[in-house]
Amino acid sequence: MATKLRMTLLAAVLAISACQPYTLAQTGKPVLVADSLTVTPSIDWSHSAIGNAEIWTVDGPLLEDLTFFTNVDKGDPLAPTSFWIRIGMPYQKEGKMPTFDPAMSALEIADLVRETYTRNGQLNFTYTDLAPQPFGGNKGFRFDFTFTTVEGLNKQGMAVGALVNEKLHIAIYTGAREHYFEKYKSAVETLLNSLKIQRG
Amino acid sequence: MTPRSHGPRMFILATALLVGACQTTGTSGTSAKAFFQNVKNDPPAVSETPKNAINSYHLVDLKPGERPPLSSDEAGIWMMVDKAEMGIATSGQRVMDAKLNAYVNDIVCRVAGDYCKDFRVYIVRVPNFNASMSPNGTMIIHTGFLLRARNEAQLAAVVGHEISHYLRRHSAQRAKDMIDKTNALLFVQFANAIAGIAPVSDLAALATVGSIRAFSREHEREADGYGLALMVRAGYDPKEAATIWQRVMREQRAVADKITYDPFLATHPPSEERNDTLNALAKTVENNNELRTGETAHQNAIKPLRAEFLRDELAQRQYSATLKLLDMLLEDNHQPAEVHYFQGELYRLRGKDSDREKALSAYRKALSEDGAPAEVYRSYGLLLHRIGKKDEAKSALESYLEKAGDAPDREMIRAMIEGES
Repeated sequence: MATKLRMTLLAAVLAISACQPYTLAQTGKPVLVADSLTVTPSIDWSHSAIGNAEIWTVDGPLLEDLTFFTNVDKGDPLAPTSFWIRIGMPYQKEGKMPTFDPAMSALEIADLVRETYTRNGQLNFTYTDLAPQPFGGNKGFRFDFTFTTVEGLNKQGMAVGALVNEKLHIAIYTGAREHYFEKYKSAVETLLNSLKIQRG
Repeated sequence: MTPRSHGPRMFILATALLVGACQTTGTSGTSAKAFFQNVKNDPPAVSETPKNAINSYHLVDLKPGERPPLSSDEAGIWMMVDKAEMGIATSGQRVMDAKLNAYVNDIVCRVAGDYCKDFRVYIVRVPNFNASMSPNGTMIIHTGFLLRARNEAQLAAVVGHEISHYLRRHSAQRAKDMIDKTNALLFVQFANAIAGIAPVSDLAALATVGSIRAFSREHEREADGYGLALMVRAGYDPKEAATIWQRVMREQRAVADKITYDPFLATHPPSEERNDTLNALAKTVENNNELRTGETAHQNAIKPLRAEFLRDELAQRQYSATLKLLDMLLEDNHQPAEVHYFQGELYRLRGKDSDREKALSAYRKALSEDGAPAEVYRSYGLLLHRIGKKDEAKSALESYLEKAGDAPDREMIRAMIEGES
């Protein structure tokens, strides 16, 4: 009986700890992102890590989110399934997701992002202005994009990233095209300018 | 649970109600006579259809524009699906392209005749062979179906089949059946349960699993017969009805890796029997009108969006089925350059064994055809770059920039070219 109770408690603890809450990232204080990058925010954000990915938001991920996908290794999808569940995006099982290869060019990485979003049910994903841009002091790339959610909400986004030691680091900011994307765009740019890669 | 999760869930539920109500078997505890207070089982309204076997199908149960009396159970079902329809109407999956909508609506109207105004057609961006009808006349057409139909007649065959389910009120019978058997609650619970795991593209698919068995053979045969009568009345060659099912069968057989559960095919099995029945029925049609297939019109209608539809197919990552689909499109011989390009894309993305060579060969074929999209050069260049053929890669990428001057990735391509020179 005691064992059964103990197992139940253990299961409960595991279940609760699986739900990592958001924590506050305070203005001006450097934050370690997914154990891989550091950034210094210019406004207060809420953030939460799931596996190699970490989501940042102010008003809630439905309205805007800045997501860091860090240390994506050869053969891996951008993020584990648990991440897409967490942010409430319809999702596919890992086996059905496109995967990263260090031999990919920036163009193929942009295609990978498009395919990942499309595969997760987002519609009309179109990217523009794919161009070289440094990322955390490394030679990297950037692009802008738009898509529509299944509910019909138009979203806008931008991505910046780089390959460091054959691993992909990419930060993707999306927001409702009306109001929210613009609302935090400059705060996102400031935050990304402060980005440093700690491990890769 | 974040707020965002509710959207898909509600959408799935709405879709479940719509689709669930659509795909019916119609065996009801209540007698059909008692339930359908105003069903008209009498004479076919299609007077111009000649006397033959198809005339044994009465084409009318509802008058054009008729809605069930407010006091009836059926009115409640309509109210539910009216509400669900609002979700479809504002869905991000809806294809808003005016020309494509006009084209599909026109065919639906021609097939529906006097009932044209009873249907609202929603084209949704989902890459599989599917079309459905709800009891209130909400017709959903998947882009995957538009892509697979070779001509107007094949589109008309499936549209006619679905309209027949409406006219004969098979859907309402099935929905009533579910409620009678208290399945409605289970059905809703099921739709909610799967909401957490369902990919959007398979929403409609999964939504039907819990409650919907295959149509009764009787209803399927009836809808097949009606569908043929309707398409012939609209001037389409009825032989195409069997052909669209043959195409689907070919694709299905190619799926070695049975990844997909396809609700439409589960409830509309593309069997030899159906094929034989449709062929036999088609032969019984006597018709004085000139019958047509409308291949050019159909291909022209989907041409501007076909690449997007094919991109959606590729994103499914069901490569063996998509290869078969591409083979069929090549046989159809419309814009072969585009089809070769997507063959190349498929091999490039799959990246197994000799896929790179196959991809290169497909891109070369695409480039040898007229009207190759500029993107062929991009993909060809990227692949050459991957395998270390830098000079050839550079030349292909330069051609891409030349042909697609305002390409969204031009700056990055330029940087790649400079890096290689």
